[in-house]
Amino acid sequence: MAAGDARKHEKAIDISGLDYAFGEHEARKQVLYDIELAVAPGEFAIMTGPSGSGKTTLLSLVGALRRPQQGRIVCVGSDLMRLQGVELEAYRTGLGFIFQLHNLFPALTAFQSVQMAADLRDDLPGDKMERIASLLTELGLGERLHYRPSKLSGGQRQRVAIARALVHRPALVLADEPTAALDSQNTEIVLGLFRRLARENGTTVLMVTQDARVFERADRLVNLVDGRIDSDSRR
Amino acid sequence: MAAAGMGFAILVIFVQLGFYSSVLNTALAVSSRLNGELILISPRFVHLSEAGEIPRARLFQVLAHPKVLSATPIYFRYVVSRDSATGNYCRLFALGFPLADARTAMPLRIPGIDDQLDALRPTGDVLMDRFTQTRCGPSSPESQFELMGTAARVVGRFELGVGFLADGAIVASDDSFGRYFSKLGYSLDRPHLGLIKLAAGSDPAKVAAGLRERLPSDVRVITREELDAYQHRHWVQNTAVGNIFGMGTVAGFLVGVVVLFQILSTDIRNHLPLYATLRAMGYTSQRLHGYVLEQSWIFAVLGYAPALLLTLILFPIIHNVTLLPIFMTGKLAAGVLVLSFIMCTVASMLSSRRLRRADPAELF
Ligand SMILES: Nc1ncnc2c1ncn2[C@@H]1O[C@H](COP(=O)(O)OP(=O)(O)O)[C@@H](O)[C@H]1O
Ligand SMILES: [Mg+2]
Repeated sequence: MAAGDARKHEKAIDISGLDYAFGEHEARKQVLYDIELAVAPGEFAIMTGPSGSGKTTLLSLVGALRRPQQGRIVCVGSDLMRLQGVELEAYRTGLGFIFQLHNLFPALTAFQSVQMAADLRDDLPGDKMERIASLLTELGLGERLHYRPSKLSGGQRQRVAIARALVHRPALVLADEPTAALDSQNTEIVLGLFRRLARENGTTVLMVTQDARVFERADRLVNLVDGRIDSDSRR
Repeated sequence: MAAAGMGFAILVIFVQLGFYSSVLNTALAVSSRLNGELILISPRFVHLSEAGEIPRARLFQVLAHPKVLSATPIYFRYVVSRDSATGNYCRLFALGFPLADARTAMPLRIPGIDDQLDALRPTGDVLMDRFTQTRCGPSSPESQFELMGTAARVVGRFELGVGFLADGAIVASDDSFGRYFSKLGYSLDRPHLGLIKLAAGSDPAKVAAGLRERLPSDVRVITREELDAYQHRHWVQNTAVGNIFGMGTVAGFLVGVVVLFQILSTDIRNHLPLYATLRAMGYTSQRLHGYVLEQSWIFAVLGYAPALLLTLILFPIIHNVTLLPIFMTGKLAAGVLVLSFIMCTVASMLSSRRLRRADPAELF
């Protein structure tokens, strides 16, 4: 999957009849029920809902971080029910993950952290080093390219993690509360980046947030309650 | 901290291997300095300190071979020395040869002997190894020095270094040598080995075969390289020191593997979410293992550099105190570097198994 062709699939996310349960037998606890969700390439979708409603579980299923159990889940052309081995790794390489915790290596500078992601893709257009530096600069880290996480604030670390998730122009960005640690100015910058990636690259964004200020910026608002899609509105 | 642990393990390996190579230096100290292509030994020969004796007459038979330039009897034995001023006794390795033969071909390639041959002429006068323990004396020119209870004079020094073999070494004329042991009924007609120098361009193996045909079974003909091999085998396999330092090297290696394994495993355990993140990013297991391997090599380098530095300081000190032939060589430095990398690679392969627990499912 080369960068820049994220629009070639009809649907970026195509889910129907998806169930998911943790545990087995008596301990079995179903957390997702009959999920139906279709997101078009380039769409910016926000998923919201009360705590424990299954948002994170759904996100990790879309990211192929969990093995789906039942139903249909096809994302950017890959059938996640069947995906494994090299194809699984290739699928993940085409995604951008932004976790609640930044999970940066303490020994690596901001630049090196982003480079680790960029190194996974050798089909990126233009100069890699330049791209890393300009992305970090755009995120307000131009002065801190060669700082290690210990020398960065919480918000700065989160922005490094965001740069790491976006540097390779992924077809699909999956983000869980990415703006929780950011002030409103940096939140704006990050949302702007999402928008630009969607416009230039056809990148689809699926983002979990409780932050009502962000809702109005999305194309889609999906509300999950008790493992079911309660409402799904286009804006 | 991690690098310190590595550094310590590598230092242990350096010191053990240093001692080990000084055992090898000891083994070859004398044999490698014999100036001849072939050696005549007793059938009872085990190694230089347990050589048996050969009939001197065999050397004349050897001389009859057209390709043989010289055949020199070599005498060696442990002698007990005593310095009357201090009363100190020592065990010295004594080497003797006929001075007349040395005019044709110097039997020993030991720095300091060639130009002092004349000084050895008076019976009882000897040259002493500069690397002899100082306590052996002679403590002053006035003090009386004895070898096997017979008065002797140290008239000069040479440079050999016999390591674990003895407290020191002396070189004497065959007559002087015979005198020290005459009380024991020892006769110069029975040297400990014969040193054969061949004419330039002759093939030692061929001459050896020819000699074997002429000589009775009370002597054997071997090449000098074979003598080195005898010595090497004896010191490495049959002496306590060879075994101790050989095992010490293995132990240092294992300690290094265990220390680094602990360090890497702890590091992986502490950073499991980070490794899981790399998995989520699409890093293959292979790449993750590669990343751990890279880390371990950084430890190898970080540990090696200070260990090398410490060893460079330590070896001269050990050498000065013990007079053992323990030196830093390019071969030792390179060998330990290679061992360090192997050590780190093994440790990283063992600890890589922990990566399986890096599960990206719990990251969000
Ligand atoms: N690893 C797990 N094992 C068992 N139950 C889990 C696990 N992860 C989440 N759950 C349960 O699944 C439900 C949905 O969790 P989650 O997807 O994290 O919801 P949200 O992100 O909307 O808060 C919760 O009831 C939670 O307790
Ligand atoms: Mg959650």
